[in-house]
Amino acid sequence: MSAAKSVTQLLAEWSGGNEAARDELLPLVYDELRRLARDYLRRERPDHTLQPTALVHEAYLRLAGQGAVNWQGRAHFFGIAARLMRQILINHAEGRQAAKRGGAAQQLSLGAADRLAGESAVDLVALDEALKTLETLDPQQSRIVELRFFGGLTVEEIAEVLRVSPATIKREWSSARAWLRRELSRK
Amino acid sequence: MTPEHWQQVKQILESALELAPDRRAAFINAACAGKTDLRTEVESLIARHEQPGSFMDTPAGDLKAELLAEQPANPFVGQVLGHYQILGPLGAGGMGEVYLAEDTRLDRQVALKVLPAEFTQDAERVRRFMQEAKAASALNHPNIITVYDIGESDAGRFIVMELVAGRTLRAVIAADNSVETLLSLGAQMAKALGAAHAAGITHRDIKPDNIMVRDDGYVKVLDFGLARLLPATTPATAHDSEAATLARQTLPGTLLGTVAYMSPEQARGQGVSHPSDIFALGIVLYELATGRHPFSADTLVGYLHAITLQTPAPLTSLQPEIPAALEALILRMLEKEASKRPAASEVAQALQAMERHGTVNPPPLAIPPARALRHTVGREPERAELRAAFNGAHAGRGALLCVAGEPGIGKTTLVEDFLAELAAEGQCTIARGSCSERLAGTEAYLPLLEALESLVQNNQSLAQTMKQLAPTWYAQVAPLSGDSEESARLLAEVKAASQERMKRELAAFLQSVAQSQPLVIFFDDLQWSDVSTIDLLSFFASKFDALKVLIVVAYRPSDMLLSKHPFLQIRPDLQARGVCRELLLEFLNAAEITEYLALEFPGHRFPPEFPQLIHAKTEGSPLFMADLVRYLRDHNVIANTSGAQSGGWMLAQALPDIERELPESVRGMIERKVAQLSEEDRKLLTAASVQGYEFDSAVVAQALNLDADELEERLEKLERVFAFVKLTSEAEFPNGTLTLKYRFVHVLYQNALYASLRATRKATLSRDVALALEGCYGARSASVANELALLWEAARDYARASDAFLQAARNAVQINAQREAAQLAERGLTALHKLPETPERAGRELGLQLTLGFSLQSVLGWVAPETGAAFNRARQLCEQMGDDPRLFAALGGVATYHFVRAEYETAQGLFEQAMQLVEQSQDPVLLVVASTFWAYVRNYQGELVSAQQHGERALTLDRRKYHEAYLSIFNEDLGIAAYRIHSWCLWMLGYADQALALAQEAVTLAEQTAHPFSLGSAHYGTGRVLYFLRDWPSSQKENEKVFALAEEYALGDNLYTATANNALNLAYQEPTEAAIEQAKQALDSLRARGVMLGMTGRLASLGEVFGLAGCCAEGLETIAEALALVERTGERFCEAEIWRIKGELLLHAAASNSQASRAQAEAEGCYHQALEIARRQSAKAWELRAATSLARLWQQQGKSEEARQMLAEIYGWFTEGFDTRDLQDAKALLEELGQLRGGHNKGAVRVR
Repeated sequence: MSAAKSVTQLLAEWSGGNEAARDELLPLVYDELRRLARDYLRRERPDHTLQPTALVHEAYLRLAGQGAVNWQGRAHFFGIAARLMRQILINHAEGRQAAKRGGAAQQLSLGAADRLAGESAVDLVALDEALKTLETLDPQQSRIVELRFFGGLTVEEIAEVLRVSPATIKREWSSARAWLRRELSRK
Repeated sequence: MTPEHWQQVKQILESALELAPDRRAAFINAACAGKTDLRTEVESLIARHEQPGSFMDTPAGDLKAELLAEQPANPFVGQVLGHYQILGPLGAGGMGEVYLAEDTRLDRQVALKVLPAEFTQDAERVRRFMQEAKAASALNHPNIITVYDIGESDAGRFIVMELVAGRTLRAVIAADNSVETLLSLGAQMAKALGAAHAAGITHRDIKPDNIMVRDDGYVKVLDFGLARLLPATTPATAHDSEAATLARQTLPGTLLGTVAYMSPEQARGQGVSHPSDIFALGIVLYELATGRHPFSADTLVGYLHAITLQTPAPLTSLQPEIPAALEALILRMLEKEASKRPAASEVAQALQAMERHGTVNPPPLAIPPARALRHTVGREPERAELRAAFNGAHAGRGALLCVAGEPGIGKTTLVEDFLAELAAEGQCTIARGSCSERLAGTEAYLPLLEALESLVQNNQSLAQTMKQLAPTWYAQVAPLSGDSEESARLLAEVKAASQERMKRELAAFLQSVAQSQPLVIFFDDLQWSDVSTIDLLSFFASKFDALKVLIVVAYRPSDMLLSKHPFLQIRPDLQARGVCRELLLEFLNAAEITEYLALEFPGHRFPPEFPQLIHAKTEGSPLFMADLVRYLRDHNVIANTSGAQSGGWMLAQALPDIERELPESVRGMIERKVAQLSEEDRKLLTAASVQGYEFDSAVVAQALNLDADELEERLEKLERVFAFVKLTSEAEFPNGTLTLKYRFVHVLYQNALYASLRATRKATLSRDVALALEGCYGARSASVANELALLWEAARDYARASDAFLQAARNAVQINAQREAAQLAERGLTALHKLPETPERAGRELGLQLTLGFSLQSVLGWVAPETGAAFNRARQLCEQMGDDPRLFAALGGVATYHFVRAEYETAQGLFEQAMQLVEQSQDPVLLVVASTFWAYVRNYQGELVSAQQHGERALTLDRRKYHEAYLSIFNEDLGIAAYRIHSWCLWMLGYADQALALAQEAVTLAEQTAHPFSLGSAHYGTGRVLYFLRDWPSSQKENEKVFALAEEYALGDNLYTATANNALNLAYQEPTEAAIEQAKQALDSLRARGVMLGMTGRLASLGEVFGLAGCCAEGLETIAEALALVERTGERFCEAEIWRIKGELLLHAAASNSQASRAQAEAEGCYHQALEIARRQSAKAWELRAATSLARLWQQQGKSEEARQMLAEIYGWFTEGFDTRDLQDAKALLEELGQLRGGHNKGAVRVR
């Protein structure tokens, strides 16, 4: 069975309520993200930075483009990808070995200090902790933050993924952002 | 905090945030209504919100790619894939990992790319990709990377390529943005694309990562067709449309990289064609020039948006020193509308021109001249000739260049090298077709059809042009190119098309193709071509002054001589007109072999005697020499001791030892090569050799009962590793089976393999191949009848062979290729004779004999003994079998044979027999045929009233039925035959106007029938009516039309009768001695052929012109001959006229001697005789002539009143034709005689 086919199938199963499918999906998506990154590196642009949006889209098309994945499946996929991006970034920020997920062991290579670009001086580890708290209070808000901040999706894309209006997303994002900012400032 | 509490806080917070900041406090106060906790909570959050800074506004930061990427795993390093040892990673490349590998068999380093398994799931896509990759590589273009091999191992599919030491263009863009570099690299890239596009190949994924720049400045374009491996998606849903469009169009995994080089049409999902490559190249050149991407964006969608909508910034705004011409060129390449972009060849030309003459400095990078990778030595003068001829064509002087030489001398190599050179330059269109040894000229237009197919295959725009300008050709070429419904309709049209029209169409099409750039057509192995193709060559040659076409033909002169090939007949004329040259290839000399060895083994240390040895062994035959050297290398006799790419080549054995072991001939050489193969491969190749020099993978697979995939793999190996075969194209059979079309590298290989087959095996294999071919063509197997016939013949299945020959002959008849049809029918008969005599055999033979007979009527004539023999045999077979419906046709053929020999009694007996059949069958078509036959017989017998009745009956049938019927039972469109005979009859009966109208109608109809034979008959018939009317110039014009047709088609005896009539015609107009002699000879030659039909009339005319010239004695002699013939044959339609002419001659003769009164009496007797006969036959036209002559005599004798009465009576009978010469003469005489009675119309009886 080809990777693409299994992704399609797993997404369908997951949409149908099979939570185990998600665990099987994670390593596949992760491998793909990694493979994409390698491709970029091979193109002799060592300073190339990856935009999470592009990366996630690309991984999606690569893995699911072949089959008829429904809308829900796509949302799930972006959810997974965003979660993975979060994982990757946090793992790196913690500077320790990544958690093992579904047998796909990852060793993030450590290199120069500025692995994370941008002016954001967010303490990712603290943010991750705060997000975990937020998840207990409001899982949807936590999801929105994950999709937006780690997945790099736009408001419109998140609205599509979560099937709510962009206005709602904007509102929820504002309040979550305020809450997180306060949470982080407490530490 | 609990979730419930947070919901409460959030609700107030969010509502507050939607208000203007200055109204928030009041709102919160009211909303919290005294709950202090809640209010504190909300307020602190509001404060956080309003705090300046960009907290989390940008996503968690762009990732450094390495963060995600581990070191490439290079899982294959150290492994062996096929016979390739993976040495280490090379790293570069779009799809899949690329490794440095060692080809253990050929001892060289290569680049090997492993394709990820998910790209190779779809077998069909893989096949297409392989096809394209190989086709591009086969172009042998210096700027296209050579693909050595495409293989499969447990690790997946892999491509083995030429190892290129250098860097990708991506690195060049980053390092060097000079105009010089751009021009040099750009021209090379454009040339590579130009060559690929000319061969119908689109790259589909041009981007800097797919272009390697060697350290010496050479550009190599990689990964042709690799984008073919992209998966297809299901139709996009509304939500997914953007994503689906991307997934469908681009390379997954390198999406961003590819999207950035997508053309607008691709972005819109409209598919990829040559201009898409140009757009991508435009982007690449833009980047090379400026270091910047013209449509740079942050996201995929951004790229797509910019590509489809944005105009790129002027290059000069980024790099001021870019010449205006270069900027304009690049911007044209980046036109959104595909049709506005320049062709690759134009880009190449423009860049080269700028490089040479532009404002810029000479290029720093050396660009070696385009040259085939194969080493060719000698042949410089020939190459120069080819080049000169091409330049001539370029300048509008078309030419035919003949490359002649014995097998293995390198004709094809010379021409193909030259064509590769032209392809690399990208300034012409190339078409190729070869003739088949097997079919040996029996398949009409074979090489031409192949050439046309090569033109339109993969070239939609040419296909469209062809469809428009040359639909009859398109229909014959298109079947294998899909679009079957349309082509079926066109095919029906072809059957109705005249050869004339086909030529006209072809000329128009070629002219259009050659308009923008010259067209080069290569016909290989012309010694096996068909007559029709030669005909067309000669036709083209007549148009050369207006065609930018170079036709190159290759042939073996000795074979041509032996077979008395028709090309030899047209060549001297073409040479005399200066449009044809012959290059005779000589064997290589020792010096040239020395040169070859030096090229093939740079820096070798062979003993100086070695080239001489090779020369002595091979006698300088290039094929033998090259094979021999290769053989020695494969056997490590020529060995590379140092292991380096060059230098170190030595002989591993002493010369005498080598000499002893060498094969003695090319054939021996080939046999040794064959012996090297595995048993399976040998079987495969012999099976292929059974299909022929060219063969189909699908057919061979089915014949050998092998898996098609496996067979293709093996063929590929036989091509790449052993160089036995060469892939030519991919095609689809009518039943949908895909096939790869291969040919042996040289026809001698096929010969040798085929000759190696033992009789039984040959028969079995031939049968299996025939069955496979039949299966592949299904209902359309009739279209390959010719090939099948030969296979069945070799399979010793003579019954099927003869059926197929019959079908092939009928195919030939349908395109008016009568000579080919006759040949095929004869081969069918030969095959049949190997079978025992059975009723089945008789049935088959009957079909063949009839087809042969009808074709021979065109080729040799009605009265040729061969024609008669065929019909006689057919009749005999019918009688033998009893009750066969084809008896009618057989009888008709035999009857016609006798009839045209003026053996009226025999013919009449046969016609009567035929009539009985008709009465039994009551078939309306047969009835018409029979009526037509009768009209002819009665007409010539002078039974005009009866002839008129039969003729009218013949003319009652629906015209379409005539046409349908003509091929199976008569060799002429029945309608035309009936019209023709009836028009003559009507004239004799006194209805001149109706006669002429009917004859002219026959011409109009014949022009629509697309049957040249019928058209010839119609013109001949009209000419004859005009001849009766004594309108010599008009009659002559009709005859000339017959001659024009006869230059192209077999018109049988019509040509000779028209020639005789025309000679008489000229003699009437100017009765000189020479003209009369000419006429006499024409009649003699007709008689010698046996065409006696109408001879009495012609002799009468000859007698008359003798009289006009004053040679009355000769005239009377001729008339005596005519009268004797009348008695002998019973041909009486012209009897009255003969007597009248005799009377005229007697009078004329007497004017010069003293026997006037006796002569007058004799003449008067003749005139009375004429009148009597004419009246008995109701032949008013003859009667009028006789009466006029008699009246004139009586006038002289002073009997004016009697004369007037007699003449007035017959003149008064006439109701039409008053403008004709006979009636005008009569009228003038009547006026002279004093009293012309007025009023002609006394209740005209209109006949017909």
